[in-house]
Amino acid sequence: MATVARAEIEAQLRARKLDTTLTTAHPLEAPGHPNGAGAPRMADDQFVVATGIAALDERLGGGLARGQLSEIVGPRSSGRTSLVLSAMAGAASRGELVALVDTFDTFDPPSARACGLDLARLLWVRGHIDRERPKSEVRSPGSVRSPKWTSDLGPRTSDLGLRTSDDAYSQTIDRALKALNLILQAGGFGLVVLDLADASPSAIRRLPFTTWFRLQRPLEGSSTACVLLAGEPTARSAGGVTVVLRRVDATESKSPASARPPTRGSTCSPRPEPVEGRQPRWGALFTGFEVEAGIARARGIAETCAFFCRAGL
Amino acid sequence: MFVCLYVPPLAGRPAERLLWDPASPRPGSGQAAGLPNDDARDRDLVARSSLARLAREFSPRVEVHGDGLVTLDARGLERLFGDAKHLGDELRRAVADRGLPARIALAPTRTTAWLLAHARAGLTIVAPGDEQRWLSPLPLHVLEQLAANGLGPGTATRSSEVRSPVSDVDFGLRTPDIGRRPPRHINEPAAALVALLKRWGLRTLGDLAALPSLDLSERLGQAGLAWQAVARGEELAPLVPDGAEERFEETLDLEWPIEGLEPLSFVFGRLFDALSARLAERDRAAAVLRIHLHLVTREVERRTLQLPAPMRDARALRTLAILHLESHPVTAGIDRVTVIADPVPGRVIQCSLLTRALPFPEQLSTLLARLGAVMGDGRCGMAALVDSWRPGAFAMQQFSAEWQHCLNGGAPCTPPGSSLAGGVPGAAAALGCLGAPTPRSASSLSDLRTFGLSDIRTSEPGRPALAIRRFRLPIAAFVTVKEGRPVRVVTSRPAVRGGCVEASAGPWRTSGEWWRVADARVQLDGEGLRTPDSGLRTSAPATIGWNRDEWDVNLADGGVYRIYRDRERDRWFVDGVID
Repeated sequence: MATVARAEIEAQLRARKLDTTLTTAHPLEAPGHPNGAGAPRMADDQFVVATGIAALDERLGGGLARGQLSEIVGPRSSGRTSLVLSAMAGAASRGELVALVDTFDTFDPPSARACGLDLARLLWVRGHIDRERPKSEVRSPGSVRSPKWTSDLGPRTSDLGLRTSDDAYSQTIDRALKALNLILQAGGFGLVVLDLADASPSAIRRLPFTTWFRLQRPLEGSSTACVLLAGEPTARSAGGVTVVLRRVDATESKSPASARPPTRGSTCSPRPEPVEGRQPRWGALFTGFEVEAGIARARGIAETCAFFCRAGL
Repeated sequence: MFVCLYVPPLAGRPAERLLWDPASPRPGSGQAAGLPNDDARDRDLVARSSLARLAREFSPRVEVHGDGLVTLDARGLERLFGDAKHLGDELRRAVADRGLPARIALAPTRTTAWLLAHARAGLTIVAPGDEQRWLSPLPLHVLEQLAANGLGPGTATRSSEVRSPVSDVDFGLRTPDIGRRPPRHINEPAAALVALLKRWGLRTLGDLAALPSLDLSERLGQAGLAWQAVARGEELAPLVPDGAEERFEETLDLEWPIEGLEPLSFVFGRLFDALSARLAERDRAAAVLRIHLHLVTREVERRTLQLPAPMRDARALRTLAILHLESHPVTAGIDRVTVIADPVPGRVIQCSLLTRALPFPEQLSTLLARLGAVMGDGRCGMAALVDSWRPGAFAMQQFSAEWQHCLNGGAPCTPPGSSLAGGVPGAAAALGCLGAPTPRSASSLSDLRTFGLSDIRTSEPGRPALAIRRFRLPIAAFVTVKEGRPVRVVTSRPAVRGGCVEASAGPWRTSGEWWRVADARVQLDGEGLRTPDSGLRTSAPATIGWNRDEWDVNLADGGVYRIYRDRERDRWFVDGVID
């Protein structure tokens, strides 16, 4: 009885857009509701941005809330980038503009296109690090001095031996935050993503906590959903969610015969023979991995679900 | 009803000398008052050149006979200004506001308006039917003044410098070219006629009009009849509106040089407000903005801003100009600023109530300019796939939402030139990867099979494709290989420590563009192509192709990486993280 009354109150608050502080995942339907007893109701895309993963959207109440700051966190190779690209692809397919503040310039357009993202609807803001030339270069015998590089693009040589000062690192993150603020102030974007996945947790913790409050101000009442991509939970608004991802297992190839076909002009080298007693995992084909997503709201991890990220290119 | 606006030449100078001087400075300047230069001749030239602009503010049908003499068709202006008296008052007020010493004549015929503007100062209004009453007292030398300004019959027949073919009697259909000084002898026919008429004892236009036409034609021919028609105020030819393209340009000379963006912002505000108003009057928008900054070093900095979409909002134009100069500052003080807009017809946009609102081009262009100022040139825009097999190849393009303002009732529209393969979204997504240097190029499903990637699966709901986070500069790695497989990967990057290989897939060999060579000064181009790292021999041209074996490895640090071995130099690199 109390649950039904609470559900009715929450529904009325949502109808009047006064639900920004609600922490439940989705409203529960009362018995006898036309949608079916206990069936969760999917929110309209006017209020949420769907991630494109049905299991996750069902638990998010349709998707990531608009006008709120949410975050998708997880360790490296936990599927967070794939999840964000899936959400961006869905938003772009619905005719919305999306923006990506790529702090460390790691966005790969071909793989994003393979995820279904319409690149023509993506505003890509590429960050960069002002790198320093090390005081003593380590040169291998016979090598020549590397050509001079431009500060904004970094060295043309490989990264071996180069160091980046903390100031340059902080400036990179500051620039990204400024760009994010400009995009949120301008408005008109359905989904805006700030990619801090490659930022060290210590660098993010050094940011003033008021940073996230200031970013929330232009979001309030807008139809823009802002997503923060990071390694660990950092900040989100009261109405946002934290999706914590974890890779469960790297799936082995089930049919070695279905190896990836060779591309034009290339040859596929023969698969090495396995050493006796040590069977190599994956083999010739890597199909993807299973991801477990935990949805954290104000009261901690509320629900979990699992989905599979398949290998594309 | 016709209106003639006439600025007589300065007193004490021959009339023909004060017609347009090709050497006059500052053409197109719209500031008639407040100029720091007190030269009366300059003021006179500026005043006469702005007369046409003032006339166009009242009527689009304007015929410019030369600087200082303009005729406009006032028919249809009753709805705006009322009767002829009110129109005349408005004209007089506008002329006074601009400080022009212009004479104004309103008459039912153009000829009558010409004659009265030349003969009478101030405002003259002739009611229909009163032409004779006004023209009769005018002296004959008015005809000479008319001819001096290139009006009236026979003004161009005896001039060998007039290029256009004319008959013996020119009824004023062709106006002299603006910018060409009429030759001196253009007044001779009219002067000779007036002298002859005076010898006959005639003194006024009324005397000429009263002569019998048959006798006049026997003595003076058709030219005499034409001049008699002029004296009667008869219309000789219709008004031919001047179709000259208006130049949208605003200039401001500064009394002292300015430095810095803040004072320049105020100057831009003043110029762009006037420019925007003129564009709005003509329903035009600026497609290209040109800024000319005259420096104290006598140099002229010319900047051209290609606007992403035609716009005429003064604030947006000023913001874009300031942001551009903030990124590309000038090197000296500025003492003159000129802004020029290349006009295009105004856009008609009908937004749909059924689709989500998109940012307007003005907002988007301002945002892109601000982002460029923060992140740097070329760091913000739209990624486009290129027709290349190089892993991670792309190109940067200018981001624009212009085409997304759909005019087809709000239905989602695709970029021009793109195509959907049978409406299958997944296939369309795959199509975008292949065979097209830009997203706007069409491709087909057959290209997929040609390129050997026909097994790319379409997007599956609930099963997103894995993305790769690519390092723009590959990270050098130390890889231990056993039995042809990597077993341990270590890098010097703290963020990519590496470790033992728990699982691996590969190798996949890929190579290409071996035919492309570059000089020793390697650079990253807009396609994101990476060039060989250290080890280049500057004496030989470097190739920018690739030849490598790729592996997907799961390392002990928990990450799944894509690594590759450069077969040319036998070195390992970490290309990206699969996330």
